[in-house]
Amino acid sequence: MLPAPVCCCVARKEEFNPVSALRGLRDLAFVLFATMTVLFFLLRLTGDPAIVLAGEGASPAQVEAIRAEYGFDEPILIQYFIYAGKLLTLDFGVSLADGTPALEKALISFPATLFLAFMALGVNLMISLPTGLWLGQARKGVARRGVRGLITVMQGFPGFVIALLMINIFAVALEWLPTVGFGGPATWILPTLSVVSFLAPKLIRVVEANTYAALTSNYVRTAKASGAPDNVILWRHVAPNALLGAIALVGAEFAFMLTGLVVIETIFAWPGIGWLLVQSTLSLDFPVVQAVVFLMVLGVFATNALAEQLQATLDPRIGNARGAG
Amino acid sequence: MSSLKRVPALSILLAFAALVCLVIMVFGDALSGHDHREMNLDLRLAPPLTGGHLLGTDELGRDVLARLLTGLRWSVATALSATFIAFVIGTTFGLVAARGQSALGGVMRLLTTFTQAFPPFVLAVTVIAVMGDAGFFSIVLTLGLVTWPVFSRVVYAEARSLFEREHVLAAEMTGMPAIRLFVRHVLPGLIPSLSVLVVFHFADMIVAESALSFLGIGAPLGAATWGAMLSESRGYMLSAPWLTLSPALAMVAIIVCAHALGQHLRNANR
Repeated sequence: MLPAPVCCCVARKEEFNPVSALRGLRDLAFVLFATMTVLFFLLRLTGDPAIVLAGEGASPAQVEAIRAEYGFDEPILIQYFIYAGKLLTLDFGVSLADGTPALEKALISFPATLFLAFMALGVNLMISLPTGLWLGQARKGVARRGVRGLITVMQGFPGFVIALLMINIFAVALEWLPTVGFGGPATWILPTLSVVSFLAPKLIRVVEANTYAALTSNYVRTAKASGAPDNVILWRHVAPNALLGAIALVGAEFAFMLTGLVVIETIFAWPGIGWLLVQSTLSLDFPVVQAVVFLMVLGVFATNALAEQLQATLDPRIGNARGAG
Repeated sequence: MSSLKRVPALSILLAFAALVCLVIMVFGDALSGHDHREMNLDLRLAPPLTGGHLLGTDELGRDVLARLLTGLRWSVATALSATFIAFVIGTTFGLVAARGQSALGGVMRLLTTFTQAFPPFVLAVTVIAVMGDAGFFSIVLTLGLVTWPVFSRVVYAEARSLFEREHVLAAEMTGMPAIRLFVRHVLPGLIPSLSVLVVFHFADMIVAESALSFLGIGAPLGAATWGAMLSESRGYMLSAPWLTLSPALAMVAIIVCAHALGQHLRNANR
């Protein structure tokens, strides 16, 4: 089946579908339940937080007292049911490190991650969309070959390696930017660029492929035959299709950023949710780990649902298919 | 036509890279003329090409090249094993789900969301803790168990259409056992995309292992791995940039080679 021409992005009014919304909620409930259950039992195997809490040189009696205080002395199944019951009321307990509510601690660090993710998303779109559109318009040319080669090499750089190299160059050798921390705009540049550097190549590739596919499609041929100028074809016929096809990937990349910036945040001491996850896991702070993971799962789910909805709203073809099916 | 002409040159290049990799895997740090554990406190942070150290020495006077070669051994071994585990679990699960009722398809989708949202770091720490200490098996198991949905997703999608093909239906009607049907008639159809996936996954596993080692939860303490080398190099960025550059560029080189191989396979299959 060849795609129908999409001449302009008129948003189709999507009717609210209660069945699919309910299905989405059911999926979310299942995933949250499964994640939190697996997490509970995995964390209980990691180590004994009572020993960590008691500190070095604590007597067995002290450890025992702490165990009783936090309920770690109950059978694990009882602990699990108490935990599951509290989860239903979003009660994650308090951080073992400082006694603040775990959910609050996770929520406080979430904006930093969201902030980084949105900055990276913005810069990524600004770089990838024009580059992909430009690359997809022709196969040959020295400049295009050079850029493609560069993208191939860039794909070989893991994000945290880029981060280290950029710190090495811009912060340590040239002293242009601060190495780590979360302060003014100067501290935002390196983390954002590190994230973009490994997200952009993929997005550029997809936009390029979509552009090429759109340019060789029947509707563009028809538009050409009817005498439409090249730039009208590019902006009215090719670009919307190429960009629509990239929404799924942009959504996936954003979801990835909510859980996958652990190393980057650690390198830059960025006080986000990934950094908190590392800190709390290593210090066996179970309640905080659980709250962080809960937020991450919610974030990923919301992002995927949003991306799907966005695509269905913007792309009349998908709207049609839904309506027919 | 031009692509046909270019293929052999790339093949030779990739074969050469694989050969180099194999030689390093076999001989390890012996190729550098130094033991990777040998410390020389009189020759700390020596720049490259001094005192018989091709890539210089680190903060304890250990030969960087020797550690780099040992690290490659570790990286390739862990990445290969993790890829294998993910491949076996993912393919099996994808095939079973594609064969079974639609309910399994729903489970597939949920599992995908589940594993996407479950932070691999938490799983890594946990598995390592359960197995007693950080080491080869814990890291390999962890990476394999976290990443198999990559395979099951692709296998599920492709196998579903394969099961509808006439030759498979015909074989099924002759009463062929399910296992034989998989192996003889479905798996061969999956090989093109699986081979590409394996290569790309291998590259991803190299990165993942290094990231874990970088955070200090992968390789055992003091082991010569690229992630650990990168982590240790952070204190000497200004005085000894080669400590960062050597493992970083080695990692990039092996990933670029793997990506090129994957791309090459993909083009060859078309």
